[in-house]
Amino acid sequence: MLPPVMALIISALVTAASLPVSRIISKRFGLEGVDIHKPEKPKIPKIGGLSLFTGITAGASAGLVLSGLYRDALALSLALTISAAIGLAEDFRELNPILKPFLVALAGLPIIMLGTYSPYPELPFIGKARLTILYPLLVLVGTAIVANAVNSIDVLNGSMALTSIASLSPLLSIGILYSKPDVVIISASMLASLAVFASQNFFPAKIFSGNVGSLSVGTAFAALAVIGGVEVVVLIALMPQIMNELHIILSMGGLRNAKNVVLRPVEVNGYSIKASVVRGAPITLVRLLTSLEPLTEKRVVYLLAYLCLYSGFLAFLTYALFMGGR
Amino acid sequence: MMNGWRSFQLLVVLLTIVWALFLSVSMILGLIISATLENPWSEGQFVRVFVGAAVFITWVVVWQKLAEIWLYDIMLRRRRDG
Repeated sequence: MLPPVMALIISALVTAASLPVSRIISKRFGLEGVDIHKPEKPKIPKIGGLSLFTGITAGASAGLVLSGLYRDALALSLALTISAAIGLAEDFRELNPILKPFLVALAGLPIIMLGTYSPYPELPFIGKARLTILYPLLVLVGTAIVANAVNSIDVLNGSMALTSIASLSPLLSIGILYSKPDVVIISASMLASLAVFASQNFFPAKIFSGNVGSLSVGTAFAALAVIGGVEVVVLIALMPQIMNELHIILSMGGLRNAKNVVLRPVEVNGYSIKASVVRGAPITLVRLLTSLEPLTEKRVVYLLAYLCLYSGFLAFLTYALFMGGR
Repeated sequence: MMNGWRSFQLLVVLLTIVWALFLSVSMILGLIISATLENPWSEGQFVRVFVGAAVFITWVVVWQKLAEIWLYDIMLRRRRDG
């Protein structure tokens, strides 16, 4: 019981302490983003996600070390460091959109090299599959997909933090109910860090996460899936985020820089967001949610979080009925 | 009233269909290719891997088509029809 509680407390404290530092660094290097969904278009410090990286790394590592899971702690810390470095590089200068997924996949390397995985993932109905040759490759691909999916949902004030918190709910429940200490420690740590960060990032945002934060959180999800052996649960829990990423890529006809896309998915009028009716504009979750009527930014974020809660429920159901929870 | 519940409900239905498809596809893939990949290569296994890949690609295409139908033929049409 002590390691998860320690992970939770350390993550919350380190995130809270790093937030002002992130703000200072953002201003010092001119890393400020325009909040395009507000009429006054304020400039907001944009690498607040540094606090998520430090908070999750510190808390989860401490919890894993206290549980004697030293290699897991090292693999997670290294994976988060690599993704945070890539995210930070992109916050300074836009990365090539085709190169980015390959770079993010590298964050999965520490997990493979330190051997903190089991190549027998559990599949619904089937049970454990034997994938000793393919699994390491799937870790790299999975890390790129999951990290970029979380990155793709970071479009509104608090959207990444709130949806991630909602997606963590089935993981924490499964970890507690089915005695998976590594799952409990990593998810408790992520939950605490994201909750503290959300207090500053929720509408109206005082700080943005930046790529450094969203890629770190996404990589933490991927590491949690692999280290905890809950790959399918994480994929289902993150279905809205993965759906968002997949539809953006397919509707744009491949990996493109969002800033170069002429057709925008939504129209912003004052404080309300309305879906574009133009065929060919990227299909995003925000566009789908605002397609029947215009909504406020705050409302869209709540609905996104509810969708992730529902997906989390489906993830829990899958585990409890068709997998190890039976 | 701008509360978005109707859109949310429609997306819950879409998410449920995608989840059911995911479960079916993961079961099919598990049955078709997981054991194949661990054994020495043969022509029969090539067919299994090919079928597995085709099932996966079909699922992704169906997922994308469903989202397009949901957006253009259901949700935006309802907005146009008032």
